[in-house]
Amino acid sequence: MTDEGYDAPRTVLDAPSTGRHAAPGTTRDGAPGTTRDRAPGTTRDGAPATTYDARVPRGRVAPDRPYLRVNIPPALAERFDVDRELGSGGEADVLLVTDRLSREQRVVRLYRRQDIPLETEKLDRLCRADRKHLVGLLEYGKGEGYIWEILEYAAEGSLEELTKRRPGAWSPDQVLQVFDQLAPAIAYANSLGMVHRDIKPGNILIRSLQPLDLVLADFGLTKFLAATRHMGTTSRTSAYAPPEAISGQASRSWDWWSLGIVMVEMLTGLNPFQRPDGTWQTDAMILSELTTHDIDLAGVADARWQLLCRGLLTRAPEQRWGAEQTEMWRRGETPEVAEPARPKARKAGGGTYVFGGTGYDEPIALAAALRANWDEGRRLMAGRNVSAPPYLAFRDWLVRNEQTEAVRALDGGVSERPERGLMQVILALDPDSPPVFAGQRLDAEHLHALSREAMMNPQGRGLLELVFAEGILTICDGMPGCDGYALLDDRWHRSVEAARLRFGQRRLQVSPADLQAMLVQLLVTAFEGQQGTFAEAAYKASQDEMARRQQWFRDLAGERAEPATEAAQHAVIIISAPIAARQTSDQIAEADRQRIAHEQRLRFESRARIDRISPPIAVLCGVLAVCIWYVAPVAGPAAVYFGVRARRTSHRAASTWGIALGGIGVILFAVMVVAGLAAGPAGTGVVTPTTTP
Amino acid sequence: MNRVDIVAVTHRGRERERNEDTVAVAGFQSGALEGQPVGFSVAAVRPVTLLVADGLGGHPEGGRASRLAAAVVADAAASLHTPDAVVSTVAAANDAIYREMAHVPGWSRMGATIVVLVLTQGRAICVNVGDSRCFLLRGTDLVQLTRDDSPAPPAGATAVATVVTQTLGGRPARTAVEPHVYRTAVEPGDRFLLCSDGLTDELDPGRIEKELVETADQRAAVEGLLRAVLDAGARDNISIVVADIPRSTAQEGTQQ
Repeated sequence: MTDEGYDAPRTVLDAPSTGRHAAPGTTRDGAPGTTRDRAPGTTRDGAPATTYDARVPRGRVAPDRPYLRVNIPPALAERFDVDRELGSGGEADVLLVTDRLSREQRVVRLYRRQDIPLETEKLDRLCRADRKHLVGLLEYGKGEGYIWEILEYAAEGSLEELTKRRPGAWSPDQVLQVFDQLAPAIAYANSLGMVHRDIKPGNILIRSLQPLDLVLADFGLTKFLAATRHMGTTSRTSAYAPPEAISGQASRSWDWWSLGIVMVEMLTGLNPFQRPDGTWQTDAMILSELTTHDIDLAGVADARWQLLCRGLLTRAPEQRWGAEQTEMWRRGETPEVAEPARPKARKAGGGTYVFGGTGYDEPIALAAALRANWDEGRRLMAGRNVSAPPYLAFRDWLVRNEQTEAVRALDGGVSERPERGLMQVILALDPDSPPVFAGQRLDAEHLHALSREAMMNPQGRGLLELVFAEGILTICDGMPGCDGYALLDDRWHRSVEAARLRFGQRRLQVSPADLQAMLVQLLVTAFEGQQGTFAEAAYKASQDEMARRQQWFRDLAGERAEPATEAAQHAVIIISAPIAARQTSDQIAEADRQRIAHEQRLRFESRARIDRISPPIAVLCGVLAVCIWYVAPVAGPAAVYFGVRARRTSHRAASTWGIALGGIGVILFAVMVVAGLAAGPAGTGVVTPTTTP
Repeated sequence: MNRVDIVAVTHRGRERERNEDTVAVAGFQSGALEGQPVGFSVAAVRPVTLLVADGLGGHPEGGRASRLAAAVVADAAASLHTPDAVVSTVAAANDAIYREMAHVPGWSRMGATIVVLVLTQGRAICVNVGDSRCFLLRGTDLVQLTRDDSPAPPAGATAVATVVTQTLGGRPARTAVEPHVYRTAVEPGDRFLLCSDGLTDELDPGRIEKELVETADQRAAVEGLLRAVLDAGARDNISIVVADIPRSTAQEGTQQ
């Protein structure tokens, strides 16, 4: 590789047209790049690039294209087709582009600032640098409101993405491949007088997978931006930074520490500052750990690898392994490690505690296991008030490991439900633990979603009832994402108390399901600024016609609540409106029932009156029917009728007489008629002697 | 506590030819090949002794060892008022197994694990050797009352379920045992579970807890557990003993 090849890009700044042929990528393409470029590149270029070309005149920016937020400077637009945006940060936009001439893909990084000091001497050195180890900085330039870099594009993504696709510990052979790519790259960069200061899997790009070809990214202009060096939680930069970084000191051995962390991460499958469940420690935790402890290498089983990691993770920058020692190590020699690896003091004699069939000797790992296997933890803590052996073993382990905070939490609440104690113990074991309760995250965002969900769906209410009863939120206070939980819990409990008081005053019987719903509703309103959430619903409930017929409900709805108990007032109205309405409808039904009963009584009374006078009438009619034959057809049946009615009274004899005389009267009448008809033609005198004397 | 209700079952499982487990409830002993759940109601005037003994697989005559151990403990049941008495009886069972194996050379190294629960005078005494377990279900939480004689796995590793560090018998020469003792006061409504590892290796504690909490009827609970183990493959012999302390209204009446 000659210098001429790399001189070309610099001229591009002044005359973009000449730069095209220079395309320093060609030198690179000769060796490893071709295989990659040809395969995925063509398929990608085929479709989107051509459509783009068809619609937009060449050589012009397309400011109205909806998906491209970024205008690229005309000098670049002449030479490149924009494929898509790769991302944008606070300071820069990153675009994937295709070179119109060479059809090769490039990355353009546009900085929206003009005031970056362009250390051209350094950048030129970078442009000339050997592309074997560093992501090629092809050109850089300035103008039209932007500073830009043109970089090579690594289609296989970053090491971070690869580790996500292949999680867990990598085999020593695989890690050795990574080491063989990274160590010479760092050594080379250092030989150019450059320190990367942000080596992490996200900044290690993969040029090809077979064979593995890794390059360091972000060596260019980003180095001059304070913002990108900032230790942010999302950038994960601090997890790879050496202890001396805390003081802002830029040591030459910075990158070697980062390499050590990357090695540990690959060998164990977990960053030293990552918890077993994949969550990360906060920057504050990382910093305090860095200043006080060595990196824990217990997870690195192999002695040679452990040696390498100890060398790279030497806390004193001047004694840390660098290019020389790593090369010796690679050759199989054993360079000296300055600080002997000291086992952590807190581990001495701590022993192993078996939880859920797995051994733990480390509080943070155990806390993560307790969070993950909540039910087993609950059973463990349930052993507290019967002093069950697993519980005692757990407590012993805590004592041996000097987890005084956790032991205090255990001893504090023997009679409590196990969940509360479990929550406290997890927090004591890992003060930085995320707030997980019964498998549910309880940070403000999740808790809010949880309560909203429980408003709709009764299934989640039991959990929140437990959270309420056990005061779990006060324990969460101060955990990540749980700011102000003590106050939140206080507001929640106060408003529930206020609501219960109102129910008590009116002696209302509220069903457990209603109480549960109220609890959830009052949690929603306990959040800052949410106390009026149900004002409208409460107003609607208070206007219920049926409910308003109850005096107590009208009083309740008319009561003015103080701001602190406003939400409780709403909840009480919402819950008691159906109760009042039910009372009203009960009262209406009761009134109806009484009216019907009254009518029935009247009817019964009149019948009873007739029954009372029927015995004499029955007897009288009976006598008449027997004595006066021609009234018998009327008096006889009347006597029987009244006789039957008289049976309902106590005058049974009169009834019998009435029925009997009535019957006889009718029979006599019938006999008379039959006899009269038979004797009719012969002579009437025979038949009616009594009536015609 | 003036009565204890018990349902017990033992079963060879799906893969073993023989049943080397033995259960004993108040003197009734069974090592039935494929037993059915049997219910007992025992007056607690004398110590109520329940036990599960699990003959060691891979050693000769596991069934003989477990039956012998069960018989020794069951015979001493009337005197088991104190933890010390239970411990010395379990030690006597250990001696008996070593004496027995001396008779026939082929019986060398026969052995068993055992868990004994004695309910007496409002207390529960629980003694175990090996990995047969006793649990207490109080309310909705299932708590293990025994300490397994299993080697603790190193940090990060998972315990191997099949290894036990202490058994009755099981070695060529007589070896003393140190049984684990646990005692607690009994409350009305308590439910105890004794089982061999045939249950706990197939079902996780959460599943067992669910069955015992949700099924109030003892026999149905035992049947449910047995069914679940058989469905899960039942690679080992299974023994299940569930003992309930009734919430007797009569007892509350006398206390008032």
